[in-house]
Amino acid sequence: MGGTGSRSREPDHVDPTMRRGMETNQQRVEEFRREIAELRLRTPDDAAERWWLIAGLVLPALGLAAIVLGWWGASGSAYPSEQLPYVISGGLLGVGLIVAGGALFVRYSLTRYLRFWLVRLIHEERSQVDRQLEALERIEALLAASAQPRAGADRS
Amino acid sequence: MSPDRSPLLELRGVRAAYGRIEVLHGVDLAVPQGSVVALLGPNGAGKTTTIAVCSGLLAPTAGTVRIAGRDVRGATPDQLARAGVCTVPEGRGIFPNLTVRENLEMMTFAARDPELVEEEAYTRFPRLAERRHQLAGTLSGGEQQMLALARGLATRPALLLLDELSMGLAPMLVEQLYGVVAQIAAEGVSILVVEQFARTVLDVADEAVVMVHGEVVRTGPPASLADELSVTYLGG
Repeated sequence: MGGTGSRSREPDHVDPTMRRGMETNQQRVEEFRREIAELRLRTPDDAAERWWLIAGLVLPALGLAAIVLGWWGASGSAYPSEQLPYVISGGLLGVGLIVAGGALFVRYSLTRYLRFWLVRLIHEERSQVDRQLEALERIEALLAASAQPRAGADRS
Repeated sequence: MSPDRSPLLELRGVRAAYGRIEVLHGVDLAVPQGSVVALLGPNGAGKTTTIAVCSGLLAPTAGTVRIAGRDVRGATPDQLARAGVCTVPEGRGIFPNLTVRENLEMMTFAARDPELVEEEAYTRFPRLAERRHQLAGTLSGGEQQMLALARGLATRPALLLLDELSMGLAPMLVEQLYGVVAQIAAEGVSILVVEQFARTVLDVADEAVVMVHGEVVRTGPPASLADELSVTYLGG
């Protein structure tokens, strides 16, 4: 495999088939540059996640309030035809808000948890590298210490 | 008008964090057009996070990521993938319950002819042709990595991001795969390759960048880094 880097990518050593490939690739790169230049980028909103998490907490509370209000309205009448609007606007809306809020909360809490897990993993790996370094330094010191008397014995 | 020769990928002072915890502390690197840059470092150095930033999966908290000369802050991973930034992730990223052929067909989203995609893949990796009807999950590690690479190349990438190509593979297979990487580079594709086991990639790289603890500690030609790699890795 050795020596396959830029050294072997000199134009003089490129066979005609590969050269055609490179010409095609040059077109591809131009196309790529054009497509990147034409990308429609949105401004990233760093605070969006926090707001979605807050929404995940607020929506179920609103849903509970809607259910309580619906119950309060429906309980004021003995007629099902008068209770139905309260069931729809209070009960169904309330349940919908609780489900939507719960889903948002779970989704963004999981994101935070997984992110924490990833950071923990990185932290542990870095600590492992530091421990390996310390171990190597100890081995190096021991080797140096054991080599000194031997060198002295060789001289005598 | 002369063609634009700016690097296909350029990171300047890139910082990235998971939540409030910063893991990249100002990374600078550039991948010139048609070159192979090796990003090396021990576990936890931030190599995979750097790939995530380059592919749009993780937004940097500071600094700029320029692709083809444009600051791509706000670009989504699918926008970049459609344009021609292809990531072959650590762990291969194939569909284990689909056959080799179906895995390749999944990469024809950019309106490419499935037959052409297959032909290219089998020409580059004849072993995959023999396994075309086999479930990808039952392939050997090396064959899975070949499939992952073939899937990446099926998108006609202009910029290829390879994460730990050698992971879990026998040295002979790694050598074979890097032979293919060298061939891809010779065809003019710009490649950023992340590796923990540096010596496997130094033969094909034009430049090597060493990261430790979220920072770039050395940049230079592979030959100048090869002898002092272990010292550099361990912060000596």
